Amino acid sequence: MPSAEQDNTKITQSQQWTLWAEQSQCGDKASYNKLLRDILPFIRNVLVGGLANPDWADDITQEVLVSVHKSLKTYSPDKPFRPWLMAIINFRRTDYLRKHYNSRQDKQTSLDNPEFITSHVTKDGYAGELKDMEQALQSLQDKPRRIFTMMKIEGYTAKEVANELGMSESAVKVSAHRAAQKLQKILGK
Amino acid sequence: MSNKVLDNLINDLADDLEPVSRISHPILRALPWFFVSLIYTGVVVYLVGLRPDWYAKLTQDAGFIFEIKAASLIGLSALLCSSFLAVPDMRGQKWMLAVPSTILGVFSLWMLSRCITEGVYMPQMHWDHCFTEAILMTFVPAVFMMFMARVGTTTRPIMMSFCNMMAIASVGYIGLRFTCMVDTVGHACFYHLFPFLVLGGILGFVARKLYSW
Repeated sequence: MPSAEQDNTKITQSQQWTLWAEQSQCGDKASYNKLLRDILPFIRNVLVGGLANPDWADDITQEVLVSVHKSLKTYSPDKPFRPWLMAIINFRRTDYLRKHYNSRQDKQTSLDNPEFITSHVTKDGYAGELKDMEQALQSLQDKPRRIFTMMKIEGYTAKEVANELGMSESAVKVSAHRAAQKLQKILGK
Repeated sequence: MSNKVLDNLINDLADDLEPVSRISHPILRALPWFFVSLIYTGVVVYLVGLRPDWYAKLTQDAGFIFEIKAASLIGLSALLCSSFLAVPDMRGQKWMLAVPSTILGVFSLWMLSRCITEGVYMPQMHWDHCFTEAILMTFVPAVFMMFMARVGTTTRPIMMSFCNMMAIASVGYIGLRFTCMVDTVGHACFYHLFPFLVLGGILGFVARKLYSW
């Protein structure tokens, strides 16, 4: 007669997951912990291969685990666990990628990203140009900086800026001109 | 994200675990909606007033019988699909989605053939009594369906929305065929089907939000 331990070794991974899921539905926290830990590498392996950025795998894995928790009541132990899990993984991956590309996060980067600077900025000598501009703006006093930003970057007219800040139109124009001169001086152009 | 974060998440989820009651088999879950819709729509049709020739139509008019049968099959299969879609993997029954879509295709071809043989005319659009009756007939089934769908966790929200709409539209269409005396294809398309098409389109756009989990 084979022992109980030997019997357990004959259980396939999928059967084991089914068993743990069934016990989890009854509120067995230990089985649930084992289930989540056991499916973790499986989820990662499924995800890593199909993603442009491997770092996303961890984010999606986290969402898959939460989704498994939320939808545990829909699992039926008379059906295999893996297809149920795969459906959730595919859903969360698609959902994550849709949100990612919809928010155009793939078009955003930090100016501190050296890879971006190397591959997208044509003149290496001016790689820090945008950052220098920001620093130069910061060196202005609050009011001239605000006026310059509103007029030259955000596109407001002198009249609109004057109304917004409670100044005369000519004072706004003078302030914007002086700010531009100061920026030219700082940037050496 | 480090392994520690995922470890903590797993520990948190395990700590939060409470015993859950499994949702019933999709067929069992579909039954209450079926009976409630059947009884409710039947009562509304009776209160609105059955068309006087309904019995003759149901026994002698082949076209009428075909439409009622096709709409019933679409509604029933769409209801079952919606119920199965509440489970992430549809319990392995993905083939079911082909059933309402195919019957809908046949029904659309039937309507198209009617348009060709009877001739299409654009009826003057106005707030017809059919709109009011359609709202009356489908209000309770639609609300019930919405609650039923949100109990599950679907991984195909747009398909679920489509199936829900087909089931609700079928109920409305059958009900209207028993109350409205106008049998022309133009009237059927613009007053009996078009409102559901518009509503289906709107629901399709908000499906992801509606059935998010």
